[in-house]
Amino acid sequence: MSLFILKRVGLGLITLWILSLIVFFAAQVLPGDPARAILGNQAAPSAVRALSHQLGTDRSVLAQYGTWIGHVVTGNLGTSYEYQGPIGPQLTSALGNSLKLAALAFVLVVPLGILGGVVAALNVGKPVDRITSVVGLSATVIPEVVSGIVLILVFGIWLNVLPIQASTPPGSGFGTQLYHLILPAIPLTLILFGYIQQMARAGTVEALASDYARTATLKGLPRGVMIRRHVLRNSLLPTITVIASQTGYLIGGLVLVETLFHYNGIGTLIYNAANHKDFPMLEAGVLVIGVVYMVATLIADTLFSLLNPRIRYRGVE
Amino acid sequence: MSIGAVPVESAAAVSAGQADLRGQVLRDLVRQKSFIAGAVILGFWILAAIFGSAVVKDPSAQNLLLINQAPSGSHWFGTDSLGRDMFARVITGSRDILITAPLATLLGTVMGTILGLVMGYFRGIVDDVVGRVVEAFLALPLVVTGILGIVALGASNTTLIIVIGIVFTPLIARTVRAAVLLERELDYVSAAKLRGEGSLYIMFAEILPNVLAPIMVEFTVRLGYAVFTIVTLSFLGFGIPPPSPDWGLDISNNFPQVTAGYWWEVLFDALAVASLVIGVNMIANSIESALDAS
Amino acid sequence: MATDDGRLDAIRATRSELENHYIDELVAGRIDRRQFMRRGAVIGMSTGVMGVVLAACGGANKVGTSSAASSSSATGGGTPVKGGTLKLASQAPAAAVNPITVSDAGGLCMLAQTGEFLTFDNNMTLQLQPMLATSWTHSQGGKVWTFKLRSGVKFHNGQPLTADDVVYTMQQLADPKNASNALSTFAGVLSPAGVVKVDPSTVAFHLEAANGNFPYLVSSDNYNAIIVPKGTDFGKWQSTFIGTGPFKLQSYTANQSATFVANPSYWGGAPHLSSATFTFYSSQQPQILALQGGQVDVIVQFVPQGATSLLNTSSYNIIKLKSANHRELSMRNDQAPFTDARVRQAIALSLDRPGMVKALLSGAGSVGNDSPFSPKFPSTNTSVPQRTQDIAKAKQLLAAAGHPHGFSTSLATEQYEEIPAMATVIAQAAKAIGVNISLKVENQSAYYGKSTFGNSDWLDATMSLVDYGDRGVPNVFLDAPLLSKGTWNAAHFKNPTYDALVKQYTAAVDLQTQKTIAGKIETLLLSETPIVIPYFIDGLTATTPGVKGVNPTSLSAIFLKDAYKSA
Repeated sequence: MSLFILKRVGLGLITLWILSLIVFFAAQVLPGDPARAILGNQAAPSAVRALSHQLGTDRSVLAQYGTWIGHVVTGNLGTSYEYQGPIGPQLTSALGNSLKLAALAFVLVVPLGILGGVVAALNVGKPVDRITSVVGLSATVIPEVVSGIVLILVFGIWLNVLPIQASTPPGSGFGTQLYHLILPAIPLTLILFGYIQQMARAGTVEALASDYARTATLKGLPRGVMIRRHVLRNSLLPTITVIASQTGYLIGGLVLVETLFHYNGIGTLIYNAANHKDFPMLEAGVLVIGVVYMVATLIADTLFSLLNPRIRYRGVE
Repeated sequence: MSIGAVPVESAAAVSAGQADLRGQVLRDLVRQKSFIAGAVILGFWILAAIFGSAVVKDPSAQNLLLINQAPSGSHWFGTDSLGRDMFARVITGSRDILITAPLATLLGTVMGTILGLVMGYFRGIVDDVVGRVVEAFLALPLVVTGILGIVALGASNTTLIIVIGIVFTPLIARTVRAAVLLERELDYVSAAKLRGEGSLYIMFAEILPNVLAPIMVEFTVRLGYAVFTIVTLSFLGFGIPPPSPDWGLDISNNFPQVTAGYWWEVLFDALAVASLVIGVNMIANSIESALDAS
Repeated sequence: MATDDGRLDAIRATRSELENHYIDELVAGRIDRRQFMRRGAVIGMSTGVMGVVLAACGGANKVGTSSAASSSSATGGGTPVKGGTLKLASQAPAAAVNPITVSDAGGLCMLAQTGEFLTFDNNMTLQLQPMLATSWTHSQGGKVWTFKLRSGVKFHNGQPLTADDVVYTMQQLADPKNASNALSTFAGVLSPAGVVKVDPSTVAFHLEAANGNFPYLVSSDNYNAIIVPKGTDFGKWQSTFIGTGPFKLQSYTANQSATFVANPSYWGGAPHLSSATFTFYSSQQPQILALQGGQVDVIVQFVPQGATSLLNTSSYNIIKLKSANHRELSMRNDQAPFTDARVRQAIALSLDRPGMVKALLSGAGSVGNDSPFSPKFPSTNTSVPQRTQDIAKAKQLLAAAGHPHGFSTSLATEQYEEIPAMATVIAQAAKAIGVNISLKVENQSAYYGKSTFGNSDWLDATMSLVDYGDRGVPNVFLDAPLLSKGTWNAAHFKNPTYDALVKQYTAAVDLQTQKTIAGKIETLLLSETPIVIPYFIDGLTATTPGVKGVNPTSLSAIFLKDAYKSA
């Protein structure tokens, strides 16, 4: 097992390095340059030249990449071209914000999804099952922009019960922050609900059909107790792997919800960095998402292989 | 975005897709209510895209004297901030997306299938190397891909198709690879090898027909996500330029007006998007379960 | 106007020729009291003298002699309340707050919190006021300007302000070797060698060419020109924010917030507020929501687009400032079919300007007359007739130019504020005269490209629609975008008569001459129509009703010296 994890971590590092190369070469295609982003579009050409020299953006692209990777291997994320300051604080604050939002979405969706799955499984083939499946699966494909707008209109504007901007004034308490994150978390919840509900349903159906469930029923164990004891326990693990595999999506796909609800998260940070060609900031932002994605898939795969030992010997999936 | 999400039921599981079963699958399909419902919704938007402009008002015609008008008898969905008829814009707004979404999905499916075949068939070092790159692309946020594509190629429908094609490629490659991994151990592959067939022949003439079913399922599932992604990119400002009516672009432009109470400038567009993705998704699920059943 | 000739003569005896010229103009009624105050300030007449002149000219002295911003309308009377924290919503500074490189709304607003300028262009009263300079004079026909510095001014680190600091700051800003954003103003006007210390409290500027409006170029309009201590490392300035202003830095966190506290030893007396906190936002809508939700008291600046909810209610105090902020539609004068002036005029005649102001700006703007002379500038010659929509005439001009059935062309523009919507309005208007315009709306960096000819859609496209921010004087708008050798000449307009007129205009020190030449420029631009300027956009600031005495500029800075929150 530890060898499996070790190999995964090694491969993950290689993937991250490839990711940094993709971002780096892709960033060369981006128009404009950091100096012009700072000095404005109508700045004097001589000023732009002078600032490019100061920032080091007039050097060859390889030299820039060299400086950056040199910093990264020593654990330093480098200096933002745009803000002329260390990247760390801005990155952590943005990532922290995104994680808060993602965490709330998880807290909302996991119990709901499992509950929905179990209820559907207990009523296989009945209308309840069909309706929850259709609704859940439909929700997974509705873009956040659509569900977000409907939520903003209904709860933010017509009923006026929930705030429609996620950011809170500096120094707000936990409760206020939570209150402001409810509406933004719902579109994410809707997207994930279908997956988790389907997974929980499949797990429960399988567990209900298994030998021990049948034995338990024969032994006369009340249905409720049986579900709690056996079925839930056995359907929970595959659900967890699905949840872990969705973390990458949640963190990486936040940009839309952040835009819609005006939230300073990691998505916004990447969006701005790409727009202003702030290469070190862009790399840092993308890599952080890459790391979260890798760690989440690693956890998911590890859990999965623990549950299903055959996988382990088939090598890396 | 959720295009990064795996389909609920691994399409690789659906590996039996023999040609003689096609009739059975089709019969299964038309018997499903959700397929019929999905086809009706999709059909409506296709008709709207083709004939809509002949029926409704000119979606680009401005009237600066009648801006931000609430829905009324003369403007069923109201007017936007330039006095354009929202009903006309919603009806004709499906035109571009109904062309770009299938083409983008097709591009991603073709590229993903080729990559998946190569990875699954050769395994070993090829799989490892390509696999790392595919993994890296999977971790790349959609915004970054979107910005790069739009910036490198300019904002156009072609760009959208290419960007989404690139985003879908690794996802489809992963599914195809998994299916190929199972197939390559089967007897018919070993037989072809013994006959001395080339790798290309085995991959495309022998294995490909046998993994078509999961690829088809992937295609229909991705189609819904293509609509999803196009709307998302348009909303973020990476879509086609104005003034042609487009749901995502209209939502993006009119969203700041929402707090002023002009809800009709975004709501109908949003509902149109929702209906289209749900329709496509219903068709995708029906195809998947029909293939599953046979 | 009842005049007291005896008093006037007494004043005249001690005044310069130009000052006397303005007094004559005032007496003759060719300029009004407000214009007199503004022009007098530019040439360095003290407010005291102007007050006496105005008093001698009879009537109540409505303009007043107070130079403080408290004379502005937002004060709304009442007794200032001491103490308290004002909470403001501002656009987030887009880059490091470095006085020499700042070019964005959020950044320049930060500079103006602790920094001060030689002169202050009070946008509320449209007057140029003394700030760190108490008086200024010009010689050699506007080629040399000499500023007398205020005494007793101390930087936030305790160091006194001297001529050395001013020389250092201005030389750095004017140095072409530096990454200075002020170069867009100083290029061709001032070089580092031209900044000369006369004595410890006097600085002279020897200009490269005569400039009648130079005091505006060292005012708050040139937002980079805050005076910092000699030897300041501009790259590190954002850790201290050292200036001479009424507020000192308490904390600044990029992309989050900044807090400033009152400077008790400010030369003009401590401000009423004890502190001001700016929360940064990356877009406008959350600022509006924050104001409506009571989380902030002020939105430093907003644009009409998407702000209907603020403009349509009376629950907030909206400060509207006339501004020169505009959009410029250029047509390639060197490319068919726009080589023919009649074609360019036809495009200009197709536009419904009042309709555009209403729809695109929610009415918060004024119509333009296809020249950069905004209603804000005193030199604008309003006797030149306003161009209005005339479809019949436009069609007629097109036919005469050989395009009876119109033609097809393309327009490149940027994704910025209301500009994409404006482009669709222009395209729709052109359709009415048979011209088919296809739009290319790009993100800003793609549109501007390298901002040089051959590498920029902005400068190379057949038709191009670009934004120009506010300025205190029209000089920059007249130069780079329209001179034959102009670096931003997207219209590729080359007209020697125009070039000569602009040179005269720039050098002219007295208002009447400026106005006369402005009239000629406006007429020439109307007949040539190299560019179309459909409207000017007002600067907008919103406050809750209890906020008094804020003094915003149409450049998105805000001065809080006299601000307070009434209970």
